[in-house]
Amino acid sequence: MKVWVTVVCFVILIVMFTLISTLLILGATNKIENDLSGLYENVVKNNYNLARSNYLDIVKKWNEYKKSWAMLIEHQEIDKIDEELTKIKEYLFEQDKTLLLSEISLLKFYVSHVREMILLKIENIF
Amino acid sequence: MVITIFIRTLILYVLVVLVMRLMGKRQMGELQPFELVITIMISELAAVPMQNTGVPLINGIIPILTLLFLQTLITFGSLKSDFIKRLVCGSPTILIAKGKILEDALRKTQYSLNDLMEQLRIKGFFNIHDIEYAILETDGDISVIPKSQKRYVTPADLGIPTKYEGIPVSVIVDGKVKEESLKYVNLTLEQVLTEIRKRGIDNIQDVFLACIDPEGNWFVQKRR
Repeated sequence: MKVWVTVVCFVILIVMFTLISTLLILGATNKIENDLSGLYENVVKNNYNLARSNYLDIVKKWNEYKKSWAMLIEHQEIDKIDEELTKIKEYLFEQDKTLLLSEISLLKFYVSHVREMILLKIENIF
Repeated sequence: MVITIFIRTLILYVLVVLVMRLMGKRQMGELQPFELVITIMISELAAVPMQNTGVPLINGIIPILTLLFLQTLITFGSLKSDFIKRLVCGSPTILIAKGKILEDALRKTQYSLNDLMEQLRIKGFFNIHDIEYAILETDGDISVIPKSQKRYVTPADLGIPTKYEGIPVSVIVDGKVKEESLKYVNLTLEQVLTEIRKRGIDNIQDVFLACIDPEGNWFVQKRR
């Protein structure tokens, strides 16, 4: 009886933890990716004022998300995103379109990579 | 950074001690193959997030708890089913039967003759002539059954009647009364006090060790 209680409790714990962490990261990555798409479009249109506003929104959201992400994913991934955000800030200030677009795409890739890593997939298991 | 590693180490240490306790006393003694694997893996899993602050603590905690879960399942399974027990623990192998070394069994278990002789010597048997059976147990230990003429003489062999022997019970340890032990030997605190006063000690706090054997003999030592 005691063994079965342990088994059931452990399975419930794992399922709950998986659901909470997956939902948390999926929600956050979707929001950041949408905001990054907006930022990308504004840079393409040379609308740097709106792009700056997009950037500040992303940083504000990111600062909230990264506290919970630190408990769930490797801190190296968070550092990469922080690094990219710093680069984007500088290129936005310099209005360097080519570099900005490449860094935004790279940041999008990093964010989507986090999402891919958290999902239950065969390639993630092996 | 240093304090982070310090706190992580504390958390993981408490977790590993807790997990080892939950795995039961068997985990501390002779290990079965699956228990050895789990113990090695737990130590490795705890060490990585302990020193690398870039790895979330949960990456260490979840695998450790998963191993505890697996160990509980396997132990339960091997208690309930002989098949599972054989599958995870293997079965004992007879290396010497009726005084003869079984070469096939040695080959199968990859046990050399030197290893066998060494283990027999450790067990106190220096002459292979004296051994009737030697069994390699699933935890790697060897059980030896000597020939009847070579085994130790027991009171039963000599026909000597023996009386019941229990175990001595410690009633006071390092100045503290063990309530459970008092209940076990059916003694009251007053009776214990009377005994220690007989030996010139007035306070329980002054007693280093007081124990009583099944025949009612007391051993009392005063604390310095």
